[in-house]
Amino acid sequence: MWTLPVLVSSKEGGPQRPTLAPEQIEAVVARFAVRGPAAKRGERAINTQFPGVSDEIAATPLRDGTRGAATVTTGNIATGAVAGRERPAYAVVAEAPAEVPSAAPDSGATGGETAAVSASTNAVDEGAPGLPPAVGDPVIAAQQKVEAAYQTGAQTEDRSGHDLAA
Amino acid sequence: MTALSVVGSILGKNNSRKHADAYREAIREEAKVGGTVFGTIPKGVRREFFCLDEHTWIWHEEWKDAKGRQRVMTTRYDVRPHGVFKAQDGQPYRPIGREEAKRLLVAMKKYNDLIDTELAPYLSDLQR
Repeated sequence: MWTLPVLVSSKEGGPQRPTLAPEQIEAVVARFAVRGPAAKRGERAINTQFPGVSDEIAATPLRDGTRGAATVTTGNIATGAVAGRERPAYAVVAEAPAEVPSAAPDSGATGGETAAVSASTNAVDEGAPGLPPAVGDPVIAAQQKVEAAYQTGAQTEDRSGHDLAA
Repeated sequence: MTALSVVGSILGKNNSRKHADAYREAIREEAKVGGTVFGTIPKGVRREFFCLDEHTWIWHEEWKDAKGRQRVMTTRYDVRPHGVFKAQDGQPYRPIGREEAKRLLVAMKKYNDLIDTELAPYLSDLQR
């Protein structure tokens, strides 16, 4: 899955081993330092918001009868479930049943058209055939939105513990 | 400014740009891996899920509706000390519900697990 353009080294005819360029290694390490704490921060926040959620997840029985992780195989954050986390990525992809297109997170439905209706404010203009969707790179778009929100003060959050959205 | 310092400045900018590009590319790759957290991605659907920064998680979907129109939905989960709030395009922030919080938490953990697994072959040399 990981498709970073990698260099492949081969020492004296030995087996080839994928390697990353120095800046790629830096990026991966930097990301590691972000996503790990982000998950922990998220877990703390969720357990503050809904005490006992982590315990509930940990108590969910696995397919093999043990406990400690979610078991469901398909869905999405709001309307479905998350693929069983005890399996490696390739197994999840290979074995998870087909699913319907995403539904809006708050709709409680799973049908694609329902999602489209619920998310109508998010519709984009149809592009010409063969052209990529009108929306740009979600990574860049997300970064720009967050940066813009911080800069304009539009974001209603106060990370000190207060918020205006509640 | 001497010619040497100009060259140094350009090289420095190029280097900085290279690192920024690599960082962004790493997020893109994570986003693709993150999209698989929810199981098989249906044909014609682009699904990405990723950690943007320590406070922000993004769930992005693109699909075509029954009439063949391109649809896009981006959900931003904002982690605050006392809970998680979400915003979808054009909508105000609102707190997520308990079930959604559970799924998000599982997704966050699985996201990290999957990426660590994906990266393991590349980073095995570094760990020695």
